[in-house]
Amino acid sequence: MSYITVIALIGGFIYLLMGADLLVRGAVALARRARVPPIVVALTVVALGTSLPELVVSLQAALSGYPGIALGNVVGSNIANILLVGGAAAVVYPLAYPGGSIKRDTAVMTVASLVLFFFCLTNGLNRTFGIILLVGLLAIMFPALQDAAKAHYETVGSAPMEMILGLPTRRRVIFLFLIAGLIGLPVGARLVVDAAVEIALTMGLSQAVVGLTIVAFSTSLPELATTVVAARKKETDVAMGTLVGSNIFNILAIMGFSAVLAPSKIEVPPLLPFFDLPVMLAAALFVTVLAWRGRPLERRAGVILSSGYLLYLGALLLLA
Amino acid sequence: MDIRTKLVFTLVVVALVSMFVLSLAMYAIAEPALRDSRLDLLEALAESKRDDMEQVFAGWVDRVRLVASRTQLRVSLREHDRTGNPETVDHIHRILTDAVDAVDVIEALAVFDAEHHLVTSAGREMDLAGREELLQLDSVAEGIGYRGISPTGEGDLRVGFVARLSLEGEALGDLHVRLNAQPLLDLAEDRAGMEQDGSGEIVIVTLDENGVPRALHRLHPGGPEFWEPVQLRGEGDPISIALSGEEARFSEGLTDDRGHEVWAATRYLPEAGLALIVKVDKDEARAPFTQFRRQSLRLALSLGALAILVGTVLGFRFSKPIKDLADVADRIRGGALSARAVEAGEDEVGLLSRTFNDMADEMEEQVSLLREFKRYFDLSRDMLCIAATDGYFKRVNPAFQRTLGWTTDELVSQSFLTFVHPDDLKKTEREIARLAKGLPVISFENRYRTKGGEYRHFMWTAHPDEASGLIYAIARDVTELERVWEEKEEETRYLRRRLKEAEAKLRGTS
Repeated sequence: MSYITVIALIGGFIYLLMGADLLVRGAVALARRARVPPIVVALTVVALGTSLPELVVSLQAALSGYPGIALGNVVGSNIANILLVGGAAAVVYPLAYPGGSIKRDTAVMTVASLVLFFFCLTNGLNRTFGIILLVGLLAIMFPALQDAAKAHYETVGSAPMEMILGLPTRRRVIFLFLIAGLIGLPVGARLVVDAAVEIALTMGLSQAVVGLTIVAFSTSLPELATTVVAARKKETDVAMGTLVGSNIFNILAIMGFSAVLAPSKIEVPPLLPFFDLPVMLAAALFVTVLAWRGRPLERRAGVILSSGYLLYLGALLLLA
Repeated sequence: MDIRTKLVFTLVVVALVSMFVLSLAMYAIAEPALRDSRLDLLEALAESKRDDMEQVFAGWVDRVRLVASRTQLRVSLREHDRTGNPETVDHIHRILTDAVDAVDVIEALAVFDAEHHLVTSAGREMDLAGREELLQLDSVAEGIGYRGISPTGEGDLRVGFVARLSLEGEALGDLHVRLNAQPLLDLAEDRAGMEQDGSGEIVIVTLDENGVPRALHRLHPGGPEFWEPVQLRGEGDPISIALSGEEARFSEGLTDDRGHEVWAATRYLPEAGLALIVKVDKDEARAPFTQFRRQSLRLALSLGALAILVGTVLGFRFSKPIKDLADVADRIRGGALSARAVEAGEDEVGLLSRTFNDMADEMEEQVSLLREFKRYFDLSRDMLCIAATDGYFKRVNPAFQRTLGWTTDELVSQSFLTFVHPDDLKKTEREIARLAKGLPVISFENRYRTKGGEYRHFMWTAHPDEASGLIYAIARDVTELERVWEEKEEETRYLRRRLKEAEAKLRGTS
């Protein structure tokens, strides 16, 4: 693994983050100019925007014939979201469960995780599976995304990007943002996927393990940063909702699109259904049980979750 | 677009463009060097192959010489020539058979007498057509001629040699040798040094009797069989160039029989009339370049991303004082007069901040002064106004409205002469004319109509300002005074009248 690979990986993530930000900003500004109601913008552009880097990386990987990275990225991101992001934030300040939709959302997350688990067990990640996931996405999109979008609207003000660049107003600038975003995203995804494949090759890891670790961890870094910053400000009302929403989106949208667009059936690595997927499922169940009992994610649970993530990573690399 | 976005975008574009230019420039510099080293490699390979071929050829000549130099053979042939003894034929045949058995590249041998009649032969059948001309061939060694390479009817290639047989200066006949061309073909097959290049090929070419260049062996799998006419299309017919003995290299415009563009190096073995072409597909030869270009573009892109990050941070930092200044200016515009910019740094922005703060200080002072005057203006019970000599009020204080009932708008929207009592119009115009000449007016009195239609008495003091052409005036409502004065006047008149009456009465009684 040459230093170029490492630089390319980091550079790729920068393009992804910047590209997603510019695209969302441009799209929001365009929608504002076109007088599209803000709630519609929130539901579509903004909700999609937070998951854009993961989506583009997974699609790029699936289309380039590395579907293992896409699968690993989804499973790894879901594990990282709860164990790492949720755990680390809860260590700083307990994550509360706001009332309302969180019970339904955690249930949806668990069901989606179970569906993924089942299809992985039967090694059936084909196009039909992808279509099932996308239909599921459409079915829950509106109620679930509404909350995610609302949550995003409330947290977006504290996002570091917001402080750097404002919303463009002039048409030329809007298109500049959109074009820069549309170029930045695939470029970043390409760099990340190529670097991930190289790392997998040179370190003798499988695509899935690279997706589970490096790619998933890196795509979760911005979420980790914003959530921990929010926890430090003791503004954790929406954190759990965002994480759960992101997990649902990862399975239904990212896995769905990847399975539909992959050139052939996605091969499930032999260890995945017996190690990584149970971890993902356990994390989802843990959060769901807490949500249904109305108990916040306390500091002690945070410590357990984040040390669980470290253990998981260690075991994963040992097994690989 | 705010200044930060502009700065960030500019920095990013500049960084990306310079990265790309750098990587393309690096590629432009490295490409010829890489190409040359690649062609050098091809030439080195061709050179070593030619040496190998030379050795194979020398080996063949040695073997021919070995057989031809057998004294037994020549002695028997002389005896045969002289006596025609059939036993000598048997003897010669045995010698030939032994040689064919012992030396494995020798496939066939034939001996002819001085009259060019076949004495005997051994080994495989030999094509002896045109053998008379053979001795006119340039000899490749003393007494040995080379017949060239040609296909046999059996589906393989033979190499033909002919050696003069003589004993003690007497010409006895000649020995024809047919050799197996396999060692030469093995050389072409041996791709050592070309392992990297899946498409690399070593082609050995010779001219057939009709002057058509033919490859000795089958080219790439699925390609033409052996002894097919071989074609390399390109500038100046590379095969002819190779067969002419020129050592050349080709990196442009050369296509092989498959239509693939190739790079090639040529060598020639003059004694055997064999040309050697080492070629590799251009795509494959250029693969390291493509890889290099891909990696350098990738590095440029990745470093560009770091530049974007640095550019964003720097753009943010550089523009922060300007942004702060803009925010402060905005706050001041919103009424927060005490807002001040942070005076950090010795650069132009620092200077701008300091200047801005000085201006803001002065403005704040002026504004507070203005406010004081405004308060004075608004609270005064006397009527204060600014008017022009055209007969219009420019500004009136609220005391006007309190006294006359007209709103400020009504007062400034029409000539003030319309409010003046008709009887006072003349003298008022006179006073305005005075003011227009720059003379002050003191204690001038006239009457103004109220909204209710009554008249109020105003006592004016006015000063013209020549520079602006405006009149600054103060009026005091003296109506009450006037009334008191009138009453007093009336009382005085009454008292006077009574006094007169009393006087008259007194005068009457007296």
